[in-house]
Amino acid sequence: MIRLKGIEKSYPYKGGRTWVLRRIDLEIAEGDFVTITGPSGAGKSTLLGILGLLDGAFDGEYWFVDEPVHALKPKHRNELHKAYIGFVFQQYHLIDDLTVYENLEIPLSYRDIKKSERQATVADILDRFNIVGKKDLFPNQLSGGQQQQVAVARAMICQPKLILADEPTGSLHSSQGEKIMQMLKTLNDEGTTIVQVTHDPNVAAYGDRQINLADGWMVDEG
Amino acid sequence: MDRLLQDLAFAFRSLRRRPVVAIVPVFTLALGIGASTAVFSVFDSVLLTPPPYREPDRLVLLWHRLPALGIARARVAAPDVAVYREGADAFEGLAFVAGADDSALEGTDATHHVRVGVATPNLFRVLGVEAQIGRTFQPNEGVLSAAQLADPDFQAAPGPILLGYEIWSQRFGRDEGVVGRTLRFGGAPRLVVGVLPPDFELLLPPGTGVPTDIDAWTPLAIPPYAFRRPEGLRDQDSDNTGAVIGRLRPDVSLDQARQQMAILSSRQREAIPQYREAGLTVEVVQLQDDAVQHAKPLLFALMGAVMFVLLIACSNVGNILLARASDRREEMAVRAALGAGRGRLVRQVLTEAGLLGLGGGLLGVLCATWAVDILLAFGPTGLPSSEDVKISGSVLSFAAIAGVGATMIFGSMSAMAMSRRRTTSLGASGPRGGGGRTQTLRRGLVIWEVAMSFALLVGAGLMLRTSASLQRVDAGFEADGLLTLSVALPAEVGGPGDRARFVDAFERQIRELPGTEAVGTVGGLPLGDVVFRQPYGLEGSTPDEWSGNEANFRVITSEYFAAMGTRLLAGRSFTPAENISEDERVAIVDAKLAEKLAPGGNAVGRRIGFPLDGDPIFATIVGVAEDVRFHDLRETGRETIYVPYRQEASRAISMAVRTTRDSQTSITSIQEIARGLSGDVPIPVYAFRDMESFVSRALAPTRFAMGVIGFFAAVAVGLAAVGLFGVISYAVSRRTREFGIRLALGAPTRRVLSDVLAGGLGLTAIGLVIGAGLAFAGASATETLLFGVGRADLPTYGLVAILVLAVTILATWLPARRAASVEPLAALKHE
Repeated sequence: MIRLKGIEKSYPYKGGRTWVLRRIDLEIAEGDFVTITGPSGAGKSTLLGILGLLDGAFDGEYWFVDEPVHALKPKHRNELHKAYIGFVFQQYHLIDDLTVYENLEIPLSYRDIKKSERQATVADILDRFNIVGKKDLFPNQLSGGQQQQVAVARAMICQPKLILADEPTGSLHSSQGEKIMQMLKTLNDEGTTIVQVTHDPNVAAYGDRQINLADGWMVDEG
Repeated sequence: MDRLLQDLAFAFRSLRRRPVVAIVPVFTLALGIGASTAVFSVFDSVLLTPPPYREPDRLVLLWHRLPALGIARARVAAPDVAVYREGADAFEGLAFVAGADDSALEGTDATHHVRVGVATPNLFRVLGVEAQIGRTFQPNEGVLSAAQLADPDFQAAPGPILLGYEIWSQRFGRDEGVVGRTLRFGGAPRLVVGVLPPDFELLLPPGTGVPTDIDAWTPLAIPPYAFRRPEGLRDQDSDNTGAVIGRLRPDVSLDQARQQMAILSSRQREAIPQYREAGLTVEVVQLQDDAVQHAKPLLFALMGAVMFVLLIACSNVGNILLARASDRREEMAVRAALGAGRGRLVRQVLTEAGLLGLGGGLLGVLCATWAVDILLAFGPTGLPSSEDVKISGSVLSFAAIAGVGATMIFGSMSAMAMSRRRTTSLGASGPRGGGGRTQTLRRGLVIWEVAMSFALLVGAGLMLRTSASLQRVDAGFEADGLLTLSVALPAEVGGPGDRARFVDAFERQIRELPGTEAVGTVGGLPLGDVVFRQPYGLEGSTPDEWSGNEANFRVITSEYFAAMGTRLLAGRSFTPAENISEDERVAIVDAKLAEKLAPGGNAVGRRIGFPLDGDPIFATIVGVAEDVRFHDLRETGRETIYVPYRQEASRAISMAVRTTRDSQTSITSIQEIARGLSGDVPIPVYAFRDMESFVSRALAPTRFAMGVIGFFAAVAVGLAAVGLFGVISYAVSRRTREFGIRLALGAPTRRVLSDVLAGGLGLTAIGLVIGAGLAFAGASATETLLFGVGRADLPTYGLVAILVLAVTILATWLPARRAASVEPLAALKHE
């Protein structure tokens, strides 16, 4: 599904460059549950951004479902992103101004899905994640665990083939974190590819594979 | 459509949840748009809206130009109009407007003063104006034929008269039956043939001698060819000269008409010696352009000032939108991560910005409708009345473009700023402080706001100093305690001798009123509308040699100077006997003319020549009066000749009454005296005004400009202060952690305080430098509005700079205090 070859990322800084990622070679197959770990500043979130097709400014080759991402124009990259990828963030990143229902609906609207279809899909996912009673609440009316639950539901709503999760339990206490990880595991069992970034060894253990980054280099893969 | 509705719904939701973000830009924009729309409405009404004439762009005005006499524009003599009518085929018609007579309308419930315009009967056909009721004049209607003119016993039938809509409404209750009736105007019968439309006004520039407040029109009974050309003189204010309005033929351009008039004027130069000496040419100008020329400096100054306000308001809105962009980068990054393309993100932001612009625009137009009334209520003469100023399509377009356009521009900037870095906001590594470019833009906007505020304040300051300079001007009279009035003597009073005796009796009775200290009569009061100038020469010169000398000319009675408080510098005033007798030709001149006639010596006793009724006469100078500013407080003075009223006893006179009684009691008493003196024909006594009001009117344009620009400047400074506050507050919030660390490391609070204050003062300093350039450019462009102060007046610039710096310190103080009071521990937790 994913093939990275010699991926590098840097920023200009005081006449030179600051390297964030160095020569990353990586393959992720469909159905994998991959955990990326490493200390702060290792380049984990940057790699996740590149994997998630949000960041096209890198060197090297990135093949996603056999499409050469490195050669795609932003518009095509965005289309690919919309078709295949869902995101879960540490800080949930629900949109404060929108209700739970609207937060779930918004990825569908960005994909130009008809309103009736959107309504049916949102109703289905509310039901599936047991949050029907919360649909008219705003994010600030939910607990952290509930917000992350909605965030996972939102990531899932377009039935992505790949879910990228950046510290999905980082802001949750352990029981809530466990619940979220169970959800992700279930999705993975159903065939969704998961790539997560985490510091937590317990969370990392949910993955089939672990990749360690340090100073932008891939130092270990297990 | 679904997407648009969704964007709109999100935009509404987003703005509703952050009312400050919505309300501040909407009100700021409403203020900017309201003020600019109001000024633009007046600008549009005066300068851009065509007058209600048929094809107004084909209407032209003819002026005589006499370069050898230093006269750029002179009224055209009636006989010349006949020549131009005969010789120029560029025009469908040439109408001659001789002026207006003040008379009394009789036969209604009371006797009223009316101002009757006199013009050739083709005036309304040339203008392309139809009567609202009845008809306008027919060709040659009311005009005497050559045979009738030659017959001294000929008795003309009642001439026709066209009523203006206002007098028809006010005096006749819009009774259509008035058309066809014969009414008496100043004792003479006139047949009402029609009523003019409500929006009719003869649009003429100042200097034509034709007043704008004309109540009714009669045709000029004498055809232009039959007027006498003053022999060797340029009697520019007699009935023999007037304004000439022409309508170009459809196939003739303005240039072609000018070429044709150039040929005709060269023939005139060949035929008439004084025109040859004066170098006569005929200037052909578009009527509308010319008529509004005088209002342009003030309106352009106001438009410039209000544009600054609008730009400042837009900059402030831009600032708020950019600040919001910084706050929303995370949200936009989430939206991008959820699949929103850049276009969709930009559209979402623009929808919000557009809503703000729309709200600001609508509220602005609402504000403008009130602002127009306020603006015109304080406006000087020369601006239209508020009912004439409409929020037209072009005004609405202006508001829409200004409101939505401004928010769209800044909305686009903020949208680009938000969508530029879509991933780093969500935690990916990369250079922090991604809002740097936005912050630079915001600082730039604040500098711009400070610069424009400074320029506006300097403009207001210069107008304030102009007003003060004008108020200090010695106008040559004492306005305090001086009541003035106008009298229109009807023909029934009799000839010049009878009129002089009437005026003498009138003055005598007024003088007997308790509290009256002095009473005098004059052909036209200083700072009034009367323009009457005459050529003159010293004894021994011939009238042909008088060309190039031009003086104000006023008929007065013996107590006029005493009543006005005008000092006599030498000699004496006229005697009461000279008021009513013309046996002795005497004159008084002002100091400026006296110095010219007898440099360093005494002009009293010398003789001066000037035309009276077209005939040259010589008079002995019996006194020298101080200089009086007759037309404008700014004028540096013009030579003036005073002669006793009897010598040219005009029918339209003004009186000056110096009294210690209150105005209303005096007015009632004077009206009673006028009624007592009236025989069968009522004598209109009208326009009672304190002399102070003439001074106020002369100061009105300056005070108006000062008030409006001052108000705009205050608004601008307020907006700039808000902008500065916003930028510094935001900068402080971004640096909270830094300040916490500094304080934890032992930095004194005053250091943090001064650091933040210096940030604000730095921006202001740059703004002041740019603003000084803007102010100088603005003052140079509107220099004609200034008096007694230079465009680079250092005290004004200095004081304004201090004021702006003080406002900067005020606007920066709160965020600076906040920075200095940061709790180090709390700040270190701050993200």
